[in-house]
Amino acid sequence: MSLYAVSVDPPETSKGLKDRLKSRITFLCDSESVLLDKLNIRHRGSPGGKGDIAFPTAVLVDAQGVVRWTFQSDTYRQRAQPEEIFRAIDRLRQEPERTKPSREPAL
Amino acid sequence: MIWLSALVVFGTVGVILANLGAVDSELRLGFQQMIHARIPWLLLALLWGGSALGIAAILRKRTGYKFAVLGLELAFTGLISFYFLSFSFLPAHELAVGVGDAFPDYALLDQDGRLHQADASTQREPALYIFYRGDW
Repeated sequence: MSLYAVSVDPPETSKGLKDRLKSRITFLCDSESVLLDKLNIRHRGSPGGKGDIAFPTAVLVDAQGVVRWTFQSDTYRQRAQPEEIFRAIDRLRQEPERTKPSREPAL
Repeated sequence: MIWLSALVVFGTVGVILANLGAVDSELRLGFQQMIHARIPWLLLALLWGGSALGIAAILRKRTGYKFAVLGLELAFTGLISFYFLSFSFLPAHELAVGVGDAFPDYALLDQDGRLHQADASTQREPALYIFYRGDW
């Protein structure tokens, strides 16, 4: 299982955060919001003065690249709880394969 | 009674200020559970209850310092309520993929400048992607 934290921050900012958190996960940098746009989670002109950022979102993907679980909220303060994430991972382990996606994402 | 109301309101504000800028592992006094609730009713109840005590104190006996304390309490209570009930809510949006859909291809740099790619031809392992707002 790979774990990625994705934001629009450039690599140097992400590295600073990773070091501060002493985290072992990989921080991916979507500075141009390309993946955010594919997922329709770009928050344009966020009120924090940081420009476009990601709507907080979690997506669990299986080995075939198929989405198996998602989390979103209507407030950025609410996060996917660890228990909820672990339950989704357990379900994925119990049913590890889906042969192909039901549809391609709308771009 | 005005000092009790001040203790409740400013104590609650103090807990909020003490946790500003903290990452989850640094949050104290159960704030992690409160701040990540969709609507943190406990915090709001403390602020509203404390302010109500302040108003009751004014109604019992009106003095200048009580008005000053209550004014501050209402200002903090109003600002924080606005943040929790309005400002921190997001515009309507809908995730473009659902369960059973293909996760989009991507090619992104990591924190060390290494390229990570995923597409239909890439050998993958299951992955959890957490999209966050960035470091402030």
